[in-house]
Amino acid sequence: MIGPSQTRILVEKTIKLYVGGKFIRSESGRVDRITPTRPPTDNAGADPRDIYVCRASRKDFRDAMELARKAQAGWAGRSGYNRGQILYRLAEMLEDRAEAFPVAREQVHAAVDRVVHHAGWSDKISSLLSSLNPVATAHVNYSMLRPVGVVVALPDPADGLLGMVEALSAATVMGNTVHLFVPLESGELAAALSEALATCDMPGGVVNVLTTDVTGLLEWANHHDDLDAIYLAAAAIDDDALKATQLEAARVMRRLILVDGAAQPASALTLQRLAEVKTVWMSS
Amino acid sequence: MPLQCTESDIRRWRAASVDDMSVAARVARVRKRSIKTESKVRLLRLALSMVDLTTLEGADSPERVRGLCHKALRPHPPMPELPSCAAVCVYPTMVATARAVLGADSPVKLAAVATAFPSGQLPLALKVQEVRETVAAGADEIDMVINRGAFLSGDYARVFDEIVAIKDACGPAHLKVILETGELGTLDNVAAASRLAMAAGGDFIKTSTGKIQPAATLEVALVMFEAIREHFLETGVRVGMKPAGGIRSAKLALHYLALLAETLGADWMTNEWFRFGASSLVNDLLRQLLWRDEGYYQSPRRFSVD
Repeated sequence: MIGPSQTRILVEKTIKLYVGGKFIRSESGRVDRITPTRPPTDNAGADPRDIYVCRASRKDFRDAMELARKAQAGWAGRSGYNRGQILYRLAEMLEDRAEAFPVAREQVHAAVDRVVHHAGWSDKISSLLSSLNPVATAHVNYSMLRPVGVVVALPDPADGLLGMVEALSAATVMGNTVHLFVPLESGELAAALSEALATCDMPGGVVNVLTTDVTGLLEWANHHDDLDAIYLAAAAIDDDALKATQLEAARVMRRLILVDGAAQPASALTLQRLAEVKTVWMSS
Repeated sequence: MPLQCTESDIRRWRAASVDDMSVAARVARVRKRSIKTESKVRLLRLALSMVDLTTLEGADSPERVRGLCHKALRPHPPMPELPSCAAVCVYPTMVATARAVLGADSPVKLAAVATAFPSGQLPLALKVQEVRETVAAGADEIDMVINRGAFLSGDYARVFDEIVAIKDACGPAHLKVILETGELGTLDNVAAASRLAMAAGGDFIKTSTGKIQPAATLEVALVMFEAIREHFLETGVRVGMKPAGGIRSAKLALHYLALLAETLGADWMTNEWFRFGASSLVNDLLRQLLWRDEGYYQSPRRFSVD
């Protein structure tokens, strides 16, 4: 029993990676110490204690790639309506768990609204961007969207939670699976977001959240040829890393989606960059 | 006079008592081993040369078998320096098709499953006939299944006699005896069946058909390795080993090789004495080899599907 004069010892959370629907430690065993952005809520006034964040390694990424690839067909095979429902459920979870995020409530609300925005696109974007094409022969020719596949997303760290949900909603609403690379300093934010993802009916592997040295892990992602696209906010990495990423992307014709930031939701044309256009000719 | 077994032989085979806990502990140690850099490349290439590239589906067509043979000969055409696989493993009806692609004097052996694979539930005379015809069609190796029904009901002599009869029917072909360990229930049974199969003249003992779960496991492989070592020390006769079924990753293949090296040693580390019964394993081995070679982790889409 705790006596009246004793302070309760806090049970602290290890911040793990979220991969394949599971919370796992890095295979490397490596963790980084970070200073929390706010003191524990039930122990106000106490000094914030350092917390430990798992650092995703090359092998963690490689394993996550396998799981994301496996999850991709199932996710893309769901109806747009169903994907929208799941994203909407994510919004519900974020709203409900606003307290869990180490940021101002308004920021969580902005993130929730953004998820709802993209959830709304899920069963409409395909009608907007698909087309019946005029051709000169006796064929019916139409184009439709197919997901690009497995995406790595590096949002601008300055955009915080909004940047993360913008990237993952845009990628998943188009039927892709996505690895979110989050800087170690944002570990707490990543953990709270992962917990919402884990409880929102999204199948495991559709979104993997990897806290890591993003520039370092991006280099390994560039060397993984099963990766289909990289969604990159300009401010997330320096110019050298950007150039290397562009060169490696060109090597394997990997899609690179450069965005300015998350202040505005992805336009329909940006969403189109997260898809392939498949064109079918049929004799009429 | 065919080889016969006595009551005392059977008692000796069954005297095996495998300590499950020790097996699990030893396998756990092997699983933690990590093999790196040059050793890893050597072992990946060795593993590739040990694969019995297998297709045993009802839907097997001549085209699929031809494709499989080409893949066994040249696992990845852009890298001609890679070793070819040890063998292809097909159903008896596909032997002639495979032989036509491999040629008469192929570095890739031609193995066929026979004896009413995978159940083994046919009269012995029909099994013997099947084996004779398969060898006549050009198979270098016969993968037979033991009569698990007889084994589990304690009729060891019948299992023994059947293996002896099949071995005889094989003539010059090598005989691999599939124990189907997933149906044997205990490691004690695995050890007893291994001893029986070796005593009856099997050139190889093989874990599984791949049609039953669990198929090959490291635990079962360890017990079979130990039985092979025991048999070698007693009789001086070397018997090979083939784990089959469920070995899909290069990492797992390396664990098998580590276990092999620890129990039977370097003498067994060739495709003459050790094989993997697998198909998708080849692509993962190639993926790891290319990663070492080129510094890029390949997409599985870059490799042929069988």
